[in-house]
Amino acid sequence: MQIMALDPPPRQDMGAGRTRKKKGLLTRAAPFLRNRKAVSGAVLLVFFLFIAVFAPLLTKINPDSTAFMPLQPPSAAHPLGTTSMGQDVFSQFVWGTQSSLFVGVVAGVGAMVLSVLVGMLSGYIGGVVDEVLQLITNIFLIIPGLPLVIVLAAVLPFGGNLPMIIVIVLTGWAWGARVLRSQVLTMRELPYVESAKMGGESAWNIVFRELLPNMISLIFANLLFSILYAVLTAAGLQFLGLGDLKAVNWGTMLYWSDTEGALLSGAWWWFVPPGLSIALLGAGLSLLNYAVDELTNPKLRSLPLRLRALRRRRAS
Amino acid sequence: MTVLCDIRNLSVTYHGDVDVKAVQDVNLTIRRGEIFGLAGESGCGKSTIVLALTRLLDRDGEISGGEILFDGQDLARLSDAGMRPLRWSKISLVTQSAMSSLNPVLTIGEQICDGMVAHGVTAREAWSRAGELLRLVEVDPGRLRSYPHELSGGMRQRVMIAMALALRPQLIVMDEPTTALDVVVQQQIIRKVKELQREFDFAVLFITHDMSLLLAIADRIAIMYAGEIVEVGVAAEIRDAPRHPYTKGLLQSFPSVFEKRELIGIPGSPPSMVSPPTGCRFAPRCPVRLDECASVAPPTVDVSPTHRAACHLLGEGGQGCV
Amino acid sequence: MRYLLRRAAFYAVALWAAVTLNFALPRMMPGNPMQVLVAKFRGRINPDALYAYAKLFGLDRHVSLWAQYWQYIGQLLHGNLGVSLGLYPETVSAALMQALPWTLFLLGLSTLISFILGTLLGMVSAWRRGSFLDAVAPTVFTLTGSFPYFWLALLLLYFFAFQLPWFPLGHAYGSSTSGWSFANLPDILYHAVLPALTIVVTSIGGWLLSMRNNMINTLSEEYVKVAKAKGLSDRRIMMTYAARNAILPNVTSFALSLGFILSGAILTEVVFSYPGLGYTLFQAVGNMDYPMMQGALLLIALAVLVANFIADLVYVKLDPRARQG
Repeated sequence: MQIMALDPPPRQDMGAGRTRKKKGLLTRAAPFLRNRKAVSGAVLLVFFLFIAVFAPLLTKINPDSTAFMPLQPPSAAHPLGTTSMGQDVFSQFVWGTQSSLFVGVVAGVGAMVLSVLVGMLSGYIGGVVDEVLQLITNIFLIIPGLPLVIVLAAVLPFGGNLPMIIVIVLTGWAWGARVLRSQVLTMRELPYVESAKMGGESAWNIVFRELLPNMISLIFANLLFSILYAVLTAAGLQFLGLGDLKAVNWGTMLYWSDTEGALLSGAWWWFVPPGLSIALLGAGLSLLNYAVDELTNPKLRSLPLRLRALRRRRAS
Repeated sequence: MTVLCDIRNLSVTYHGDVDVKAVQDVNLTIRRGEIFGLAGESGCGKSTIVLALTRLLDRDGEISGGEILFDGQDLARLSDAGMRPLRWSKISLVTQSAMSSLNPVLTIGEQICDGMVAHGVTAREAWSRAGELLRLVEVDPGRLRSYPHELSGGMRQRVMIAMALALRPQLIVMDEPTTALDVVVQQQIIRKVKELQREFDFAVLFITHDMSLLLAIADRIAIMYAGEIVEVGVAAEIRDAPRHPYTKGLLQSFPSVFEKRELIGIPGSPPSMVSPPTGCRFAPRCPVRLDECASVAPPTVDVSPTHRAACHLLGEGGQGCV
Repeated sequence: MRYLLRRAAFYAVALWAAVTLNFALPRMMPGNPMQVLVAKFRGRINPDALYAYAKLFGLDRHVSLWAQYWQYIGQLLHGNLGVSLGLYPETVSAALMQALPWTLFLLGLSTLISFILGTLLGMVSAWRRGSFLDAVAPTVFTLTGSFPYFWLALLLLYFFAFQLPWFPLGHAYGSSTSGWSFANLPDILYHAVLPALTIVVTSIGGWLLSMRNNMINTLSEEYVKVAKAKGLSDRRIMMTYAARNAILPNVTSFALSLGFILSGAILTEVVFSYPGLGYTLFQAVGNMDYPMMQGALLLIALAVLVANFIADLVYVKLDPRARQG
């Protein structure tokens, strides 16, 4: 029964048929597959994942081997030419993709987990805990990441990927924590959360069983962002010569091509593949992020084709 | 009283993944100097009528049929440029929430004045008139330099009304103007509107879902259901002798100040506007429906010279659901 | 006013955190930091320089950590950042003061350009939903935004300084000019084109996208509808009603963005050998010049905090609600 006089005031006259329903995975994925940005982003991401996973099958050449003629342009034997030290660029690129993606994904997931923990607990528990966590978050947000990472990298004994991953996680979690916290703050007041609270569920259960599943798209966007940050930061550090210079990854490839003067000798096949890969992976992640934004906020969606045609008709 | 605004067979369609006809063949006349009430549940299309009449439909909304004759011009066919001179000078608007209707970064004075300046009033003249307008709605003219967040909810709504009066329009559309206010402030605002209306003789189109409020303020009332007008009449006729079962249901669903009676709601909820029922749209919820209601749309019948309703029970001399 | 005080208090805490972190850095080195340093340089360094570093951070004396900490803060308050290990006997603060104006100039100029351009493009894209501009600009600049700074810098250098010798290969000014003066301005601007372009191209997308999103939200606000009902000109509705409100979150998110832009600027400076703080930091890393690194880090943090406080002042100017709250 509905008492009309007590209705909440209408905000829009199209209320009917707008209620949210639980749908199957397939129907929920459908708008994603129809979104051009999402599909191109996913294709780019899958492309690099493919290279990373099947690296051993894609090249038989050892990326460290210096057995070839130096600075050869691309040929049948060396699809991406050779470096000034006589290494095969294609093999370096393939193995470098694996290494860079590994650091990016691990550090990105790490930063995401940390931001989920801090953001959700801070938002849900509130009070002094929230104040303190928020202060820490804001300080990490405002202190510029890269200079700190550079100095940390210079001070800490810096070999291998682990210290780099730790440093990236430490400097990359704050943005996500802030976004998730404010989302939790708005969700905390929702009826189903209230009722769970009344029902005596533990804070931990409420946060991770009730809230978390409803924030998947936000967390996913946050993960994309973290991976992008991690890939770019790692590459930046390696490019500055702050990583393990003997390792093969996109950043050190660029470091060596720069210090060996690939730019000035016109050896484009050396510095274009790693740089373009970072750009393309970044583009893929940004496109996916953009698509998630559009799909979760219908206001941002581009106009349906029909409406565009209608407006053109009216204009003419 | 002469006709000010004649809405004929108005239909409005929202284009989206599916097209939704939010307003269907609506006929209404608003006379000069009257308070015309329009009531219905959320989502029935009453706000869409406001947006069509003021030509403020979003980009996905379209007037898909009919005409809106206002002072001799068809608003439905005017271009944006042609509509602009009429805005605010002939038709002004008071919206539901004064909180969100005022620009938070401009002072009250700036917001009252810019509408006047856009219609050729000089800035100096506009500022002094703005002060007078505030006095009319009993707000201290010193408030011209205040920002919206510095005013109470009731004050903001008074400012909105003052703003709407700025160019002495012939019609003020009030879309749920008091919904966000508490009952005492609501009463003050309503009294003020009636007082100003007597003084300046503008017409008001008053939209609300609150029947008791409407009965207290309106001269004539139209009831809307699922995009259609189901009953129109003088306020007393609607109150004392509703002829449409939906109107009757609406009247029983709010507490009366005058008599003690049982509160009865209407079971069920309005139909989806994506695929409205054929026949009478109220039929699925109607307590007194006939067999034909499900298939045949009821014709609109004149009950008296000032009262008409669309219900099969009124057919062939029937008395409706009295 | 209360709002600004609260912000100022926060910046004070953040600055304190940066200082404390800086104090802790040499102590993160495994083993005794002094021994590590001596071993690392193997006599290649003036012992006086090393001694000055140790003294600044209290690494030389066997007093409590607490006393060392207060001594360090006391030194900082006197503007003493130590002596450079790489450029001995030049002090760190003198070297940094030379670098600071270049970073402020390059970063200030390019951030201003990218903020204004991005915000304007975002505003117009949202206002003209579905237009050609709206279809192209957000996507294109999202893509350029994901370019790694240093790689874009390398490409620009390769094409516009090496292949087409339109612009210089690096540095902030030519060999005939030196440093700041009005007469040098054309030369300085000429040298700044490519590095500034790098920063603008990679940072414009962020401003554009967030302005577009904010603007789409404010355009559906009631007050925009009322503005239209008033018969105001499109220009006034777009600027004073929609954009004026949509820009507020952009000003608040300035803090976040500045960190990212600054990181990019450091890499850009390195590629173009642009003598700012980033390049100084990079060289200090190469020389294992710890006092210089730490001084640069501290100064960069301070600069970011000051820039944020300026953004807060602008915000208060723009949003009357912040003035009293």
